[in-house]
Amino acid sequence: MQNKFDHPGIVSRILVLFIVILTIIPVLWLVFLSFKSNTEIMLEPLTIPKILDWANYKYALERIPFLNMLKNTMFQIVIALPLELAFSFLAAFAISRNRAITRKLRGKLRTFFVCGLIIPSSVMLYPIFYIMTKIHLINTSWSVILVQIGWAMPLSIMNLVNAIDAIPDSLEEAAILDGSSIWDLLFQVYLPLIKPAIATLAIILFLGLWNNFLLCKTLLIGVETRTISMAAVYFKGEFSVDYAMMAAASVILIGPQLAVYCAMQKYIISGSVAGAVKG
Amino acid sequence: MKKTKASRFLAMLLALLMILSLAACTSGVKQNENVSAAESDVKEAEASASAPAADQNEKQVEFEIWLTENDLTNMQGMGWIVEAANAYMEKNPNVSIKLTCISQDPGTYGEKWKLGASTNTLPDILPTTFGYLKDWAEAGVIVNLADDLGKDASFMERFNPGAIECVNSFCPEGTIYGIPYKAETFGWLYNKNLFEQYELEIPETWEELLHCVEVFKENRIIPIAQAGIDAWAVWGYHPFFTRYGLTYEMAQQIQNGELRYEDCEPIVKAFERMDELAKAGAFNEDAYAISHAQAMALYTEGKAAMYSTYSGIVADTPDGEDTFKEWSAYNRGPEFADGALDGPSGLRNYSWNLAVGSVAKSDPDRYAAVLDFLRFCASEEGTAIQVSFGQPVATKFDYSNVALSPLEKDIQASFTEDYISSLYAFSVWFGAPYRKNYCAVMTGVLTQQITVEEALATLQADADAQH
Repeated sequence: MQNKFDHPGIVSRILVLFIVILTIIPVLWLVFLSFKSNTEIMLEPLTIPKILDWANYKYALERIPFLNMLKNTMFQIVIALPLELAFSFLAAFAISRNRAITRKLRGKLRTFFVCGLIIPSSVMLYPIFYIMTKIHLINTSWSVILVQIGWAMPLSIMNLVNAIDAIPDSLEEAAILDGSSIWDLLFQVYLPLIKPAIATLAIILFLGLWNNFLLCKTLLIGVETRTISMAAVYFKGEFSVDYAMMAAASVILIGPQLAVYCAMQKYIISGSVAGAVKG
Repeated sequence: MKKTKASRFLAMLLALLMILSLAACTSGVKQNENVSAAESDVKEAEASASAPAADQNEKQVEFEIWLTENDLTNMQGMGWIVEAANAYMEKNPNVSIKLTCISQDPGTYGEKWKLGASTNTLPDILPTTFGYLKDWAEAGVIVNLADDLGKDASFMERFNPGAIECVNSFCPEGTIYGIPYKAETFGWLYNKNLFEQYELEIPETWEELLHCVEVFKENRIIPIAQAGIDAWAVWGYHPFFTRYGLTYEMAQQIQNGELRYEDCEPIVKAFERMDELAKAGAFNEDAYAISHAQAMALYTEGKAAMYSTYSGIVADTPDGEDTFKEWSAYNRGPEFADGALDGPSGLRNYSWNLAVGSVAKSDPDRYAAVLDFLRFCASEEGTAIQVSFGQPVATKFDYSNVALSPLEKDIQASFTEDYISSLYAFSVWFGAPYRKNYCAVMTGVLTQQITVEEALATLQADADAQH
């Protein structure tokens, strides 16, 4: 049976086209800026570049310690991402399926974690900086990793609780009747079933770590620990901003993100709707 | 069964990745150190330890300096500190100076300063601006150098008159928390080519300036580039207030509620001159919508004939973007026939300084090395290094043998010429709650977004809120 979404009307199409254009224009403009000189940007900021000059990209790559930044970023991702996924999976399982706690308490636990989403990260920066200074982790990647794992928990737990909730109880009961242990339940029943949700979460967390600017800017002091998200700031000076270089660096930085997003978009969509309809 | 194996494989793979990362982290730190060391030429601890000249009995000392730079390869303004550190370490092989670049972006480095101060983790030496010193002194996170350096006559004599007092003007009487290193003047840039083309003289008076504006307008050249987005880009207009006779006492009266802005003649007149200039069509039409960088580009591209600036901008312009130094002239700005002073006037300022973090005092040897380095920076040799980076200095120096661009010569002259000098931008006389909108209302009047009356009312509202 076909529904009305299969054949959208002209108004819907125009609306979608409008939103697409609205989304693409800033990216396109950024690409245009990356091919212009600073003077051209200052004097004719909204025009299409007269020539496609790759010099900005060349100089941006020369000026930014790109490999070092990439290494620092990947180090954070490789450590933080699996830990974020592991902790949030275990926590979500406990919240969703623990029979020892009442349904009411479970709801409160869920609310407790969701509250983490409401607190703006910027208000936590000073206490975090203070703690990291006291435990001598300031200006190390570990400070970012530890905090990022904590910051990611509310979103991760909320997503995974929804995904686990969507799995019928009968499946778990059947597995227990077959003699499954708690670990069997976790890794042989639930994990395969919520794989799309985990994949989605992994991509979201990856993008979060890749774009982690605020935390890195606060906790990483020296040049040697800087991450890729801080590359564009490289071109902001005391009284001047090298917009051309900044645009080129930004285009370079969003490349990997776009690649990951394009490659994994089916997981993102399937994962984000997982749990929408309880089975 | 297949799924079990897959899960186990995945778990093993993740564990392996974590172990590898841990190993990479340990080795990564070393590699990073190498990267920064390679970038800098600065001999770090290893280098100084291996120096053959080192006295085996002398204790190895290391201290840290934070630089407001992105890295040590592309410096804007603090290259001289790197050079001075190298020269100092060569003379003192037992001392190792760690240079940490915290960012050129004022938002980023300002945040790191504040966070460092609030956790008492400021480095041994911190180049900073004078606005921060009072709070940090009260918090005890920086060291009072009055006893250790202030009583050293040979050290104090090295500085230009008023420089140390200016930097420490907000700190308690008799204390020295910052050692000035950079001199600043506020004034105007003039495109000599355009002035020659239209047979105009560089304006010295208000009337001459208005005439130049008229001529450039007639010839479809923007007379004065002005930025509206960056409210602080109003350097050239700060001396207007001093020229009309604004004094520190008047500023105090305003803050005490004894004088209202609309009754303070120097402030009213200065704003009226800005308004007059704007009404004469002196500025680019989009002034309210462009940034300092865009306004500066209008000037450097020859589309505007004049730009209000300060010496730091000129000194810190990166190589390749500094060709305007060859065809620009500089002066302190127009004098007013109805001005309140008896002679030409201008504004000299000393804001940037070297402060010492209280962490330096944790070890007497380290503190002694820090003080010795400060003495070296102020010495003739240290000053010569700073001058070689094109920076106007706060210490005495003979420029006769230094090759300067025409613009740098003009700027240098503004430090030595005989004129009535105010040491501060006038707004500095006011406390933070009073001065928060000064630059914004000046920009507002210049870009005709607000009237003079509205500007004065805004400032008065800030003052009333404190009473």
